[in-house]
Amino acid sequence: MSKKSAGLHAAPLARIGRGVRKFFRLRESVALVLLVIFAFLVYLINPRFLSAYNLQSLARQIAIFGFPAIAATLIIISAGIDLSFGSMIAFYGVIAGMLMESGFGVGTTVAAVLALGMMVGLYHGSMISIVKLSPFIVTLASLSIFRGIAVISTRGYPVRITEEGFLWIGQEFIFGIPVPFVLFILTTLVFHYLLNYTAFGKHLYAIGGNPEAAHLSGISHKKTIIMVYMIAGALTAFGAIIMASRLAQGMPGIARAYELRIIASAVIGGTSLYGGVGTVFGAVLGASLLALIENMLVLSRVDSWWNDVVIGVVIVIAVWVDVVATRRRLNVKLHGK
Amino acid sequence: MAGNEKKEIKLLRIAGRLRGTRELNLIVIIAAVSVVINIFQPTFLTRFNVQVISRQLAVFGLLSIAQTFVIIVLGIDLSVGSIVAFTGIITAMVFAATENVVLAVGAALGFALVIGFYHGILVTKVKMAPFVVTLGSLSIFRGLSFVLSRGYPILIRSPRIQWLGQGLIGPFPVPLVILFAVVIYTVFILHFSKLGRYIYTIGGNPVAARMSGVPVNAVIIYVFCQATLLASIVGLIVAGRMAQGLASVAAGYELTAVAGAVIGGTSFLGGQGTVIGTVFGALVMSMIGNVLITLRVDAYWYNLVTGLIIIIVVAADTLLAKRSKRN
Repeated sequence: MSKKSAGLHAAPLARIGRGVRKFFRLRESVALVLLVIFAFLVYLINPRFLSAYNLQSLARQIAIFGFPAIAATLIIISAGIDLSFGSMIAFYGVIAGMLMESGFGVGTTVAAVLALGMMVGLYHGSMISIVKLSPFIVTLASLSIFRGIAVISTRGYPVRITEEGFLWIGQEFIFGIPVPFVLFILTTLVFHYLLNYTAFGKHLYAIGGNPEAAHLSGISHKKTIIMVYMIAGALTAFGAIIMASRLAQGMPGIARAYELRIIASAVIGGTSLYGGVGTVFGAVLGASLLALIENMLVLSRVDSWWNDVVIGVVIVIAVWVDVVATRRRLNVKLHGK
Repeated sequence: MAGNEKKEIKLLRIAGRLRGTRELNLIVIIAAVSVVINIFQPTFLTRFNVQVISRQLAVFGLLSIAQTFVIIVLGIDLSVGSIVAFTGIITAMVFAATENVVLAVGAALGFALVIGFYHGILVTKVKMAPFVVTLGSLSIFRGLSFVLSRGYPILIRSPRIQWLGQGLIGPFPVPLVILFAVVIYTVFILHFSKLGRYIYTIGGNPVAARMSGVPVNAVIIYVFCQATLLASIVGLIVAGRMAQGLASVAAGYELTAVAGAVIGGTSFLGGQGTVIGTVFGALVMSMIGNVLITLRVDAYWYNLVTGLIIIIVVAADTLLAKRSKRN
C-alpha cells in the first residue's frame, strides 16, 4: 500500500472504493460475504429466521462449534492438525457426567475436565514436539483411543446429568442471550488478545509460518507446540462441557466425525493448512457459517441429507476463492500496485 | 542379457532392502500373534476365518494402497470412504435402471475417474491443499449418496456383481484375488516404472522434481485418479458383498486406510512407502476386529485397541529409527 496522504482529501467515493478493496484483501472476507448471503437467503426462505427463538438456538450452535473451532485454528496456525475433536467431546462429556454422578460438585467437575483437557494436550504436544510424530497420526490414534475409553467406561449408555448449576452453562440465558454464546464471545476476545498482543501469539505464527526462522530467532518449538495443544485441549474440554450441559447427559456416541467439520470451519475462516495464517475472527465466521447452513436447511425444510453436500461445496468454494485472492494479494505486493 | 541381469540385480537389491525392514518385522509379528491366538482359540486359523479376514484385508488393502501413493507425493485423500459408498449407490442405481452389469460397473469406475481428475486439477492447477479438496469431497459424496438413495439400501439383483464381493476362485475369495492383481500392478508402477521414480522424487523434493523436468502435475493427477479408482473398486466389492448399495457404508474408512499405510511404513514427510509394507499394515488393521471377536473381548474395546496399536507402532518405529541413527 502506498502511503500517500490522499486519505483526507480524496473524494468520498474513492475512499469508499479503497475501503472496499481493503476489505476484500482480508482473508476472512470470503466467509463474511458467504455468511451474509446465506443469512439473507434463509430470511427470504423463512422469515422466522429472525425470531428470537431461532436466533437463540443459532447462537448456541455457533458457540458449540466455536470453542473447538478456535482450538483447531490455533493448532492449524502452528502447522499442525487435530483429528480428535469429536472423540474428545464425547470423552470429556462422559467424564463430566461420571464425576458428578459420583458426588463431585459442579465447580470441581468443570475444573477437573478442563485440567484433563490440558493433560491430553500435553500428551499430544509432547508426542508431536519431543517424539517428533506427525500431528495427523498422534491425533488419529487419539480419535480412536478416547472414543474407545468413552464407550468402554459407560458400556455405551449415556450418563445422565441433573446438577442444576451444570445445566445452567448450556441451557440458560443472560439478558436473553444464551450463556454459551456469552462465554464464547468472551473467549473470542481473550484469544484475539492472546494471538495478537502476546509473545505466545507471535511465536505461534512464527513457528507455523517458518519453523526454521523461528528456531534461529530463539523461539522454543517444544514449548510453543506443547502450549498450543494444551490450550486447545482446554478449549475443546469447555466445548464438551457446554454440549453435555445442553443435552443434560454425557453421551459416548456423540459428535462422531465432528473433527472434520471443526477443521472445515477453521479453514473456511481463512486459516491456511500450511500454517502461519489464521485468525480467531475467521474461526468465529467459519463456525457461524456452518451453524447457519444447518439452521437454513432446517428452516427451509430441505432434506437433512443435503447438509453434507452444501457444507462440502462451501468448503471447496471458500478455499478456492481464498487461494485465488491470496495469489492476487501477493501480486499486488510484488508489483507494488 | 544385460536387461535380465539388471532386473536380477534390482530384485536382489529389493530382497536385501527387505531384510530387517518394516515389512519383515510386520510379517514376524503378525505370524507370531496369529499362532499364539490359534493356540488359545483353534478356530482362528481355520479356512473359514482366514477367508473372512482376507475379505476385510481386500477392502482395507486397496484403500491403503490408494492412500500410500497419495501420501508419498505429500498429499492425503480423505474422500475414499465416501467414494466407496457413492460408487456403490451409483452401481446399484444404474443396474436397477438398465439391468446391465457392464454399464453399472462402468458408471462406478467412470464417476471415480472424473472425481479423481477433479481432485488432481484442484490440487495442481488451483493449488489448493489436498486435505481441503478431499475433505470437501468427503462431505459432498457422502451427502449425495444419501440424497440419491434417500437413505434406503438399493438392492442389486445381479449375481455377477454379487460375485465380486461373495465369490470364490478356488479357495480364494474374489476380493483377495482383486487385491493380488492390484498389488502386482502397483508394485510394478511404484518400483519398476518411470512413473514410480517420479512419484518418489516428487515426494522427496517437489521443487527439485519440477526443476529436473518431472511432469509433476500429471503425476499428481494420476495419483489422485488411482486413489478414487481403487476406492470405486472397493465400492463394487462392498456393494457386491452386501448385494446392495448403502449410503452409510465405509464411513471413516479413509482414516483406517491412512493408519494401514502409516503402520506399513509410509511417512507423512513424503517420498517414503512401499506397496508390500502397506498391505501388511492393512492386514494389521483388518485383523484387529477379528482377533477381538475370536478372543471374545467386548466390541467396546475395538476403538481403544485400534488407537493404541497405531500410536505404539508409529512411536516405537520413530524412536528406534532415532536410536539407530545415533549409533
